[in-house]
Amino acid sequence: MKGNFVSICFKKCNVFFLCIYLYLAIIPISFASQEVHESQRHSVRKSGVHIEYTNFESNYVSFDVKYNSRIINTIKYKIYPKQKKYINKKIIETFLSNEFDRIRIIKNKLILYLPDGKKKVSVSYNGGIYWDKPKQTLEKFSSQLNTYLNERIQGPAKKLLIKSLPYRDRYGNKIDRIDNRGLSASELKELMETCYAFGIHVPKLKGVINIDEIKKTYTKNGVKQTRTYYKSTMEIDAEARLLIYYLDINTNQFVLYTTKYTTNPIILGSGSISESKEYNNKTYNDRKLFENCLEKFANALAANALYCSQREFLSCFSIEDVQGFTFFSKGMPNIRMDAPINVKKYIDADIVFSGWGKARHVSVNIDDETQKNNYQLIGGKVEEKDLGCVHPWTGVFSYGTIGKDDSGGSFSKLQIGSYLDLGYAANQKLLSEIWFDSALIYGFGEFGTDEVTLDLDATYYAVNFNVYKRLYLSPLSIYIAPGLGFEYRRTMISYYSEEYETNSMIAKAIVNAGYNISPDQELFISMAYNKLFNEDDLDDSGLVIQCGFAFHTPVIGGLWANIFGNH
Amino acid sequence: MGKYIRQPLKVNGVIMKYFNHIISILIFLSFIYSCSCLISPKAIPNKNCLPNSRKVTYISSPSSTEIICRATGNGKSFAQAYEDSKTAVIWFAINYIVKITDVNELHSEKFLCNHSPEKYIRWQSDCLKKVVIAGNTFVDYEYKIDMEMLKSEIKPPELPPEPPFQPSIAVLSSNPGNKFSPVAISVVKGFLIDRGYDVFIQTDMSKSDRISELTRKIIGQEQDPFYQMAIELGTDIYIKITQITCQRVTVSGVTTLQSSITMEALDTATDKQIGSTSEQSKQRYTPACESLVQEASQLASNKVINQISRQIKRQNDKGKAYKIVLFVSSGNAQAVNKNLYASLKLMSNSKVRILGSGSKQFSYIVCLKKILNTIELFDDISSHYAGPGKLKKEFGKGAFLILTNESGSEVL
Repeated sequence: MKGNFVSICFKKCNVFFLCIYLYLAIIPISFASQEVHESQRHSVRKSGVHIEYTNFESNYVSFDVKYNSRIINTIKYKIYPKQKKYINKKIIETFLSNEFDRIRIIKNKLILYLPDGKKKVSVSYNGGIYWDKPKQTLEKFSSQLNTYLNERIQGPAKKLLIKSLPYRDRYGNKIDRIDNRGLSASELKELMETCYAFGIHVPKLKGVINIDEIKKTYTKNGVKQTRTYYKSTMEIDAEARLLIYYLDINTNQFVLYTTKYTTNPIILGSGSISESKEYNNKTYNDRKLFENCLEKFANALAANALYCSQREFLSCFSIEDVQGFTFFSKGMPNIRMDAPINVKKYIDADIVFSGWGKARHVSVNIDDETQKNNYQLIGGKVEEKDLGCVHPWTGVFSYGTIGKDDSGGSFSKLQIGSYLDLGYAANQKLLSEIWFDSALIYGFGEFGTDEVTLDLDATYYAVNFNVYKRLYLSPLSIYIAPGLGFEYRRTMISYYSEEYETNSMIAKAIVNAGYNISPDQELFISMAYNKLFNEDDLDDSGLVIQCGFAFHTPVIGGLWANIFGNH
Repeated sequence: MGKYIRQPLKVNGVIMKYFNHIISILIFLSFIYSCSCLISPKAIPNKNCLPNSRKVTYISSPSSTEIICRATGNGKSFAQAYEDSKTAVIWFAINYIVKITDVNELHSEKFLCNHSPEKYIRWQSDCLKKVVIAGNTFVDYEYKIDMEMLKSEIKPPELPPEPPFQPSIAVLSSNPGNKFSPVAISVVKGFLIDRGYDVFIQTDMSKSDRISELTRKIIGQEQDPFYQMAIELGTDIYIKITQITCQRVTVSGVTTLQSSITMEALDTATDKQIGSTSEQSKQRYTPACESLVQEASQLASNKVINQISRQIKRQNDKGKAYKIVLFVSSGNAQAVNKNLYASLKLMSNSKVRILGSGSKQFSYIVCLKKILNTIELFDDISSHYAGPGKLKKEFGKGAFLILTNESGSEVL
């Protein structure tokens, strides 16, 4: 029963993504012109050829249907071209942030779209969208894509890059130039030698459909009745690979892009996505459920692509001005709300981390020089003309706590969960530093309420959802977060050999205080006042104190995937 | 309980007993601290207005009255280093104007103490570099300086006195048919006019007049056509643009353009080279080369005109150089030569250079301080010359004077 309960809770939350890698990357890509020292390097405009084809190793996803842990059937769903297109678009558009000019292949043209989305430059193209053998393995697809890029795309792409040079330069985050005599050789090099092509490969997808029996009790005409429902939970092993090719302008060849961290095609997630629905009978053949699951699959991979994009193409800028604990940069719309910014200095020929902050206002118009981004200094120091670099981040933390719970008895408790910065995920200023926390709790100790002091051994399991607003005390890396929460608790009470159960709904008032060791790790203590509403009308209240450690989660699972937006 | 009450009283008693000693020690320590503050370098207000850093590099001249320099500032913080870079660039600009010779550190300091660098900065780049070395911050910026304003505000003795004369300068191109020649000539001309020189530009070289023929006969050999043109125009100095090119350079698979220009400056009287440079524009992606020719011309003009300025300064110390050619056909040529040489020696404080001395033709170069043109020169020579015969001015223009002896000259 206990195991089953935990399993249900997990499935409810869709927390199936595993953290498979944690990167802290600083990648030197071609930033600065000859005249500008690396300490003032600015990100340059890059161009990305969008290959609007996703190589699915199989057009079908096969599912084992399980009932009572026994396979009762297998079923296959076809992935339609419309769904393939949606997955491709979602991932690539997320990966190609505002720092990229997107190159699309449309009919007989190769078109480059500038950041304002309206302006475009095109060249004629007659290579066609041609794939010899779709449904290839990763290795074959990689080789086939490379050949396609070199034989058909590289020539027109180069022409397009040259044709679009005057337009692309305008949108660059460039050093102020005194003359307007044309692009200098170093500036030209930056624009020409930062062209990439992106392809997506999805391996054979497999999944499971679990059917669970749920009994619900209700009262009809004063008579207690029980009804049985069937809940189908569909899980897909979510995995995709992103292939990046770099156009070597001197040899006119696309070559596989590699960095210290990316020597192979990038894995966009590893784990599973799940979607569930209740039915009156044992239903498992529901295409709608499959389509919802596939949409969630695309969202999760896109959210992970965002993190990979930040990691591979680090966005840096010079800090223009500092006022108190606020610092400013030129308008950079590609930076998300609440995004952590690492502040670095060049000291005695070394790059030294001197502090970090978070984005508080993001300019939307790259052309308007009066609009600036501003950032709150969270920890360390910042000085004018220090280098600011976007910290690769998802806004998701996983954590564990231990603590004491005096509500509904006297319990020691263990809690694991994850929380998400909604401001970052939704890229909304209104939600800035509003965090959503979901957790599973296990408590053990003695049961009792204000009215009934029984001192009986008891354990409980609970699911917990909190929302709080973080307020940072600059520049101490300390935050205070007042908030509200809700908990659903099932308590098991042992009375001699008998075991009783009671369910509680708990409303919470919470204050968290934390210390950020870095943008990726934090220590925190949490105090909550719990007000219990038991099903047997034995209400109670009590304090909860706990302390914990949280670490950044670079891969986003199904739970948070749908919240990510405004890529 | 009593213990706890008595204890503080005991402490108080000790304090009272040594009160005078404690006060004496505190006063002594205060005194020591005050003295240390007085002798500490921090306590001395920084009256030195000169920059900590002298790292300034000339980049270009976008116009004849402006220069762009890259300056490194040095300070304990970014703000200090930034201010230091501005002071450094103005310090450089002052020295650039007066070419250091007449301005020593003290005068630059006096000027920098009384004038804000901001006043002369017309543009500045974004920060180009910021590094911390051994606790000091170093920053790099590019600045555009209004040299005209700075020059007008530098009062003596920072600026040397105006020279007694400003030479006239001719701008000549080796290939007037080159489509970039007018661009280059126009840039050089603009720079010269802005610096206060009289400028003459090239006319049709085929229209060689009698004077050209005359000089050719006198000097007896084929001369540099630029030289002839300069004599014809009567200028003291001539700048010749010997080469203008616009070449294609491939960068990252893209064809870019780059212009280069070579120019020389020569003294008409002495035919001595007083300036020479060859400059290149940046490689740029642009459809037309004119803007790059302009860029290279600006760089070259600024450099050559600075070389000319230095030469003029030296000339002002010694006097203006004149070339005098004497043609005597009669038998007393040696006597005429000897007496003219003696007259010129009397007129000039420096030595008279004899360029050539034959049986009938003689040429000299003489530096004269108070003589401003060939009319004054001829008058002065006439008043000093005692014979035999009389000297006649056959031709005089710029720094070039041709004389004949009245007693036996041929009409040339």
